[in-house]
Amino acid sequence: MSTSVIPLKCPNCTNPLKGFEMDQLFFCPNCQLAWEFSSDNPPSPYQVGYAKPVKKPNKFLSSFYLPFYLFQVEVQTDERTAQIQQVKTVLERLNKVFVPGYQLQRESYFGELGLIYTEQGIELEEDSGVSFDERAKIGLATRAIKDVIPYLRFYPLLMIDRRFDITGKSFDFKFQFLKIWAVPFYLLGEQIQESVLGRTFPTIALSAIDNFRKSP
Amino acid sequence: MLNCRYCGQRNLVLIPDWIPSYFIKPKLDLTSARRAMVKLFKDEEVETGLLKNARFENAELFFVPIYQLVGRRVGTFLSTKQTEASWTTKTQTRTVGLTTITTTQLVKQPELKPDTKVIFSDMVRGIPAVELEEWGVDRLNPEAVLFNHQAELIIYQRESMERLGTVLEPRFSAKERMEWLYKAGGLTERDNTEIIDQRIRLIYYPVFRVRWRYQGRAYRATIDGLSGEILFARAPFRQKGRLLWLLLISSATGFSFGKILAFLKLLVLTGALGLWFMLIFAVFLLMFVGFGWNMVRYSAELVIEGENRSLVWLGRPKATVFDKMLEKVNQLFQEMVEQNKRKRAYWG
Repeated sequence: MSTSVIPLKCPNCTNPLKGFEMDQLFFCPNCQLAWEFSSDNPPSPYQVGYAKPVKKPNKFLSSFYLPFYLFQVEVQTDERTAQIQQVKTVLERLNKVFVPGYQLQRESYFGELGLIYTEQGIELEEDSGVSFDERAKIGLATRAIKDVIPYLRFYPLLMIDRRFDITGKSFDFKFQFLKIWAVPFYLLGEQIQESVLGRTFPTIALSAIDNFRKSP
Repeated sequence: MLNCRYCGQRNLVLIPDWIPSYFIKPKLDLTSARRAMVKLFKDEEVETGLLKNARFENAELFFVPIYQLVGRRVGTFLSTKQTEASWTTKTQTRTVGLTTITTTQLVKQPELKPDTKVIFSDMVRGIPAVELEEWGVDRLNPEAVLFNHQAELIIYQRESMERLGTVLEPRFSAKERMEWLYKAGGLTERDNTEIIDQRIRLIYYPVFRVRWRYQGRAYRATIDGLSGEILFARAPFRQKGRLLWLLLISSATGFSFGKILAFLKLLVLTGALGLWFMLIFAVFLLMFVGFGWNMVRYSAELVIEGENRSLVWLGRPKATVFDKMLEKVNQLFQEMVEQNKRKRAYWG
């Protein structure tokens, strides 16, 4: 491994990529692709879908998009465990897992949005009417795809353990990456509201929000 | 991320094992740091003359490097949980002489069952990258300060930092400090959990080092450059206590001798009983005087480390003559108790 300098241009359309210091993925608002760069491998693109806001506040200071990884997950266990009602209910409902690509401070305390979306089986709808300028307000993907893999095991385990004691049980996980969802968030001042469930958390939990404020 | 000086093109620079460095600007200035010291001088536990007679020498700003480890602890661990108490039999056998007695009791005992828990929690640790004795930097918690004081992390700029104060460079690598953290038991290795999403950054934290003098003796204190909290300080402990002890031991000795002389006739008449009483009383008096003398003889310094306060006795040996005496008396007492126990067990 050696130091390498990569121009932040979309390898597809040469448009400047969007993203900030410490980000792992950079977004092209033109191609709607997210790019992951590494010193050893050629850049890998991921498809990005801009989600339609469900709960939009009447008044907000600004809006921006934060990335969520969406995976298809299949959980397998032995036949006896699979027949237990509580386990069966979770396994039947669980087929997609959302993991945030951004990081909050004290995430467990302020709300694990990825886990909440996964538990509620949220289905996001693509917003085709997002302008280029709006699409450019995206970033803070500080988690790369490889960083989120452990979550794909622990979100389902946590969901099952909340309903049924998993002592002595074993589970196998198969997962497949589907796409990146860009979910709209609204800055309300001291609070930030996400647009799918309308949940809020303090602005200070997302210290990197200053990047959006500073970016043109 | 670097911007091209000529065309403004943004470039991503990938450096393997790179640790991002930041600094926090102090919210306090030198005057505020001195003011924090005045607050210490007004403290009830320190010498009363400090406010009037202590002389400030200087206050200097330092940037102390701290590795901040942010991660998430995930995994499972096997613990035990108590189930509802159920009735069971408990059998005890004991031998008395040639007879063996077996007792069976019906007892209600809770059962312990294994329980797997899924752990999913945030983890933030701050470890100083330097070892500074009597600075109190181990107490620094950048995460809490960033959160509570809404301080901004600024990308490391040596020149801007040096304009403000002295920059201390890390003496330990992040790897060394992480190994130390794991060895120190900060993270448990017993359970089946792992730290994921691990990010390390180096934060240069501002602290003021204040130097002052009192009665010819030099003192130093460390003040948090953001909150103004005293991280570490030493100050002379109030003298009132020493005077009180001197008064107490002299009055106790005088009073005891006076009483002995007053009742000397009675003590002589009671014979052996009187002598025993005198002996026990003399031991207690000696212990009291010895302890009091130790308190009078050595002056103390108050050591403040955040919320914790302790006393350090100046020039006091590890064990004074009185301490050794007390230890001997204690040993004697312990032996008597043990002997008594053995006797009781034998008769029981």
